[in-house]
Amino acid sequence: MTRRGIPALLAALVVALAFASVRAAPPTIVVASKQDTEGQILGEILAQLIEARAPYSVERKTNLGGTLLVFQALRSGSVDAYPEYTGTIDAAILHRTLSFRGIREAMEQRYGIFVSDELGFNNTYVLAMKADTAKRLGIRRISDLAAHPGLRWGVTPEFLRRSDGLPGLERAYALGSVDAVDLEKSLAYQALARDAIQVTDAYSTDGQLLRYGFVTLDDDRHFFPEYRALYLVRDATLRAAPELRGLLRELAGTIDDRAMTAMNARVDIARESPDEVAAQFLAQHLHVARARAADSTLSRLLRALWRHVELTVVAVLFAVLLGVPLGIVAAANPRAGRAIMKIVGTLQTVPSIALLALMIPLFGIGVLPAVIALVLYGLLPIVANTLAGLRQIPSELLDAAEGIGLSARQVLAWVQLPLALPFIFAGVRTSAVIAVGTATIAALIGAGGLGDFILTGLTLNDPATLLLGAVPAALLAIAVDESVYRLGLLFRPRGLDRA
Amino acid sequence: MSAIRFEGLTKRFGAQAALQDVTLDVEEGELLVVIGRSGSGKTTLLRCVNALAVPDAGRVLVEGQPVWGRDLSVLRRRIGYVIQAGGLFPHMTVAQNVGIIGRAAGDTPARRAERAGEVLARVGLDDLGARYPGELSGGQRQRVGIARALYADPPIMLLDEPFAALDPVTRMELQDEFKRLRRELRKTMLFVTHDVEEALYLGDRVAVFDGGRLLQLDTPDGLKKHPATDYIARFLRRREQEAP
Repeated sequence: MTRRGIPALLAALVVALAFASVRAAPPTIVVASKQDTEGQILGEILAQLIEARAPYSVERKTNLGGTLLVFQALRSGSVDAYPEYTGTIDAAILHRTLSFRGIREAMEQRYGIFVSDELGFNNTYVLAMKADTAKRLGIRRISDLAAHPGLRWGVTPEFLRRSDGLPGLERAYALGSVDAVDLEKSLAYQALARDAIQVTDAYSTDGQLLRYGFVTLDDDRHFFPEYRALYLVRDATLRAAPELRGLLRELAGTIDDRAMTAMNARVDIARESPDEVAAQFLAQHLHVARARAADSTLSRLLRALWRHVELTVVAVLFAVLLGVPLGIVAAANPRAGRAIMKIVGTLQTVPSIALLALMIPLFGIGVLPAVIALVLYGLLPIVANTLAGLRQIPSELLDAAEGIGLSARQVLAWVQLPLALPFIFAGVRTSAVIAVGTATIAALIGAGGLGDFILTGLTLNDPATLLLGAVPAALLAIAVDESVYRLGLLFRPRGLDRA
Repeated sequence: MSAIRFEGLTKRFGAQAALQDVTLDVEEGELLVVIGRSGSGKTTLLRCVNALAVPDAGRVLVEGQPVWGRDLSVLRRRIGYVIQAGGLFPHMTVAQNVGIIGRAAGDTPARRAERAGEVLARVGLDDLGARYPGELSGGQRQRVGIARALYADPPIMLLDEPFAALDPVTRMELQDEFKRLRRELRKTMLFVTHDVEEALYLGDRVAVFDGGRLLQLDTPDGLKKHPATDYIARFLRRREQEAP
């Protein structure tokens, strides 16, 4: 192959890979969920039910990072369905408190989104205590707490400050000012078990409550809003996949508080996968036979690894295609150069999670916004090194090139870029390693990759799953670093090392 | 018509005047050496010929045509350019360095290889085409620089202290060789140096510069016999004292 042929081939490869990766999603139903255990189980239940009973295929995005993000994705059509709670719809989406019927009408009219019947359980705030403490003090209801001002409370920082948390609770039940410290949730449970605190806030279906044998207090004045679980589905999806409506009706009222708590406990404590727990639920309650065998962990890992490589490679190639010309412009024009470096440098300082979140309204969720974010992140080292590589070329060489009659383009192509190439490759190396790392966070916006394992591990507090994602990601970073280094040697102009 | 004509050339770098109202003709076929200290303006004078420097006032005519307003690539290919240490591109082989003007002008690779071979033979480096500059001695690199300037057989050559970075023995060798080469080629040459010996040895005429002004223009003999100023006399006397 000629030397001219190699860059042409690479360029073709870039374009092909890019299109392969960002192509439109196939006509399948995208079932999403947030990152928490319960969301993942509910997402799986819907996904598996569709796979078993309806002629549609399903794509799962069960690690998305937060209500606004998932809801945006639903509105924009990147997601077709996901589990949500009435209280969350009131507080975060509609910003007012409505009856179930009101919610259903408002969502329909305002967003064209169908609200399914409720699944049955109410995952609201509860107060939890050790069973023996509660029994000894005769506390069964929240109003009983008013008689025990000496109790120490340990609550999550959010609960401590939200108006629908502790401050509101104190007023509603005339508790006075309770003795409360803020504690991270898992620490609060441990503190409660050891009697360092006597009351904590929890979610009513939290599997950890079963593990510790805590009792929950009856909200006898109905202070806490209801968080009744249901599915949100796009109207457009229901039109395209009409059988979905019947399936959602079948799920209505099938999961009560105890059942949901038990399922959460099986994932959080017994370390079963949300996948298996969902399958067993469907088999028991709806007599659904598993449509497909669960993928082996290895095959999921390999798929995630491949996706991670795709994300990284495509992002780095585009970062090069964008960054090198920017570096050239910056080197040729100092004013433009300062502006470019400022912009590219600022991009680098935006927290990656924020940059990813900013992508959602513009590009939805999935691979495209992830790649765009990774490209923006990877620019700085490439632009900076291109600039440095061009600036280090001795001025007399450029004088010679110009003085013997080369045009500006010829000077750039024949002299400047080849001499800057080792620097540019060093920048690409840094950029690629950053991309491998940042791509793990891209799982938050449904891009997949090894981040799926890391996020699942974090959510389920499962170090094995976390390492399953983290170790290959680290090895991938080392491999990418080494590969780009070798590629750089391959393309290093001969003659530079001969002195 | 003179090959190169400087008319009232003035060039400032900030407050510093590099050239002050310089008028000078370089005749066709002659080797004019420009000599002076660092900062005398001699290199700036040279760079005004191939339009690397833009004068603040005055103009330069090459073969009767003003430099500015012409297609610079075409102009520069008619002017061979040799700089100190050769100015070779380290990532290109000797043959590629020599043939780069042909590449820019659209010569076929075969034509480039043939012509590179010819000019390398002229400077006595027939066998080194496949080497990289980093593998050559200083003298060899300088020869390659001269060969590159000869590639397009330009009628005019500019040489900016071509031998200044060489050790004394190599420098003498190259000066001898250059003198021989020049007899064969009969090109118009403008040669900048700060070395009095080199100026008197190589030049048909010598132009002495100081502080951006042309102090004297004469043949080497004329210069020795009738130094126009004290400065020139000192310049020359020092040389006699140093000579063995």
